[in-house]
Amino acid sequence: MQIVLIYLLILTFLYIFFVLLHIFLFLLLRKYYINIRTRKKKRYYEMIYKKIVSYISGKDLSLRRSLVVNKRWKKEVIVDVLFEVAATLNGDEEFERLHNVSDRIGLTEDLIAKMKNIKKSFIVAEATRNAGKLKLKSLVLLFKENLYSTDYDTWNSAARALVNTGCHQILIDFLIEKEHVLKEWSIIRITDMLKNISDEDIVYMYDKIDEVSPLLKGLFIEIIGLKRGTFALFKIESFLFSEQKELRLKSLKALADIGMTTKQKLILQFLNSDDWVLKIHALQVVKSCKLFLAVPDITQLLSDSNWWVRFRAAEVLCELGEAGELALTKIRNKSADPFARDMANLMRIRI
Amino acid sequence: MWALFSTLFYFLNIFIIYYVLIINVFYLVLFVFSIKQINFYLKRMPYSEYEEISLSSHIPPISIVVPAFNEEKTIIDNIYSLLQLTYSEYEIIVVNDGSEDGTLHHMINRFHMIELPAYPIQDKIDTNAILAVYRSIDYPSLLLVDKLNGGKADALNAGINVSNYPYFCSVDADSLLEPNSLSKAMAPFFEDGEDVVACGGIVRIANGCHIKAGYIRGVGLPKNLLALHQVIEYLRSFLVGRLGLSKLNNLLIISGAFGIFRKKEILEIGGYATDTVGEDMEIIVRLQKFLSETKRNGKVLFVPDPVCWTEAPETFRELFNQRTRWHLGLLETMIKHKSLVFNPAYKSMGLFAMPYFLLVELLGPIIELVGTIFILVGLYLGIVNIPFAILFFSATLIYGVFLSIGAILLEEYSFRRYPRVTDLLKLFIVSIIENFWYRQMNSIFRIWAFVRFFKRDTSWGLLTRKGFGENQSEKTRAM
Repeated sequence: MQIVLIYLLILTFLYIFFVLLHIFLFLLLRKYYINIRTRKKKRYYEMIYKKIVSYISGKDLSLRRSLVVNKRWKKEVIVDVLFEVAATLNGDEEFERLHNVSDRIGLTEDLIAKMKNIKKSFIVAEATRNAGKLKLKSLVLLFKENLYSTDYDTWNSAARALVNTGCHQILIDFLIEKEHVLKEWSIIRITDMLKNISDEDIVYMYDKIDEVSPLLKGLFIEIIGLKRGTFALFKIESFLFSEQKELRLKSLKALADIGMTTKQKLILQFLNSDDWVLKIHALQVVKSCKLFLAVPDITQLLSDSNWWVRFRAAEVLCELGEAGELALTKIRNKSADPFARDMANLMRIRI
Repeated sequence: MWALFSTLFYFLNIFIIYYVLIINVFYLVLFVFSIKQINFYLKRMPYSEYEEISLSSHIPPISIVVPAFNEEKTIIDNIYSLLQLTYSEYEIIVVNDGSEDGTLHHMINRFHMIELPAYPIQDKIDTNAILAVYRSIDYPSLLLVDKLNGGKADALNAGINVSNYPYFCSVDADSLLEPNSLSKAMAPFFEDGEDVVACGGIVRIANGCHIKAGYIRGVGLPKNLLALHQVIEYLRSFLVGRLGLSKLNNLLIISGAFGIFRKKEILEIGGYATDTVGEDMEIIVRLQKFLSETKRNGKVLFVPDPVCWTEAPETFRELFNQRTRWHLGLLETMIKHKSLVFNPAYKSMGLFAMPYFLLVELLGPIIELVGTIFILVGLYLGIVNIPFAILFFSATLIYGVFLSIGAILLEEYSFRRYPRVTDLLKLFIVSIIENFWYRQMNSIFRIWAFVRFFKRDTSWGLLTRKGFGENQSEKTRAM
């Protein structure tokens, strides 16, 4: 019985070993083949890249007629080139020519088929993302449909595709509709994607601010600030009075990004807050808005207990021209606080 | 007497046969799950958003804790690799654990570090005294903590106390991270549906790679045979073992060279244990135990793509020290948490993962060696017939080759970090020849851990650092 078991065991493993050996030989040949193919692809890439760019930029329109892709690996190279080029394009005409190439090699059709027909979420997600990279606006309805998918990869890719095709309002509406259902991190992810929205969509976002939760409010303020939405200045400043610290922080951050404020005295009050995070954010507003009247308050901050507050305060003084430099020199030479003197010296070494 | 020996021998044969069957089943299960997991990962890679995520200002910042003892040869390159990470916000905390070489001096000079008097430290975990905290003028997010020697676990705990952020990443001072490693390893923490508490990346052998200023310029296989064997070993351990266990949510170890943790849970369990040399495994076992007992959904994952490159020992002495230490750590952890083994209250961890580590990883070398000795003795005494002996050794050989080739297959199927055809050929040859000497030598090294355990020897042994991209070596004193 024992011997039978052993023989069975050995036979099984001999079988496995020879199977693995064959697979290994296959992989060896495959690797050799892949290496050769990679070199070929590289040479083809160097050749076709120039032609595609010339065509898309309008310099040489002959590619449309001459482009014949008879091999899968060539198509893969062209697809990579299209994705690479798509990230750098701006004009509608250029995108039209890009889409022409995509149609010609059958990529568009392929993506649509995958987005519609395949039930495997990773295929749908990849196709959606790729369609978004090519900014295929004709597929916006499909993106919107996938946005409501329960599968994370699918809706995440759809959100990214909508952003790439400039359909930010759809995403904003989706966020408002689903903000009580989506996880916090998902809300943050989608809002993150909206950072490059158009001026028109910024106004749309601004109009919705009062309808949304504090989390979304803060995120919207942040985006408006990043886009330097000066039209929203008063609204943003109104959140400086919010009871919620996060909204006050977002408001400060937005003001620092915009580089303008009408609430200078309130900013000075934040510099004297007990919360070091608020102080840091207020310092950024001072720096960005060049609030010279804040120099005495900032000088005091070089004695703050928090290293980062002292460091950022000294940095801001360096940015405030002669008044700031004078203050730093005075601290360096005369301050009774050794921490303040250290920080002022540190700034001098850094500069 | 003779009859007793024959009977004993007979039952030992039965035991070994069934043991080999059991461990083969274990590995087969892990291998199947590894293939599934790698497949899943590769399918999601084309639309992975880790690059976009890493640039977001909303992702949680991380504290990277680097415990360092006598690491003057590698610490600078290590820090340069960390400074090149593509991640929005992070701080680097190097903890100089009472080094006796120039580690502290090199750090202070190279990065223009100034001492911060009265730096606020949250003493949430007890550690040996911290002597000073420094910050770099050139890189304000780079901190250096100088403390009295207390061991790696103590250094990590000190780093956690000094850290400001909700996540921390432990990185060895003799390791290099690729620029996108942190982003890739953090991605599971942000994905929908998963509550990830800890995540580890793969550790690969840096020997033979072209490294400059902390950056891997070219991947290659080591020339040193010992290091070459370790390449296979690491691939087997990570791509078969850990990937499979991660899929089953039974991962009981994240490499100390590269692991990310959510600080909240680590503080709840009291940080790293300083009474073991295997602190990396012990903390994960304790974490998993805590999650199970508190009925939390938190997961411990392994992600196969984010890479940490580490220097592998190239001499027998260093390999011996390393492997006995690792096995001693495993032994200490298993003893400390013996209540989990075969305990149904801990579900798959108690019924699969812990028994796996006990029967396969911990006792495997002993059983293998004892089996081999008995076969040889049996042959000499004429109890064992030659066909049986050949069959036994063939089984062991084939099982070993199966595992190694399986790991190489997974590597070739997925990441193909070794680009040349000759690399694949070398790995294949080494995966066969290792079964004739390296595995047996390793088993002997690991068995010595039991001797060290009974002798209560917890030293790290001799450590030699060559440095990255240099061939200098300088012996340093043991911890």
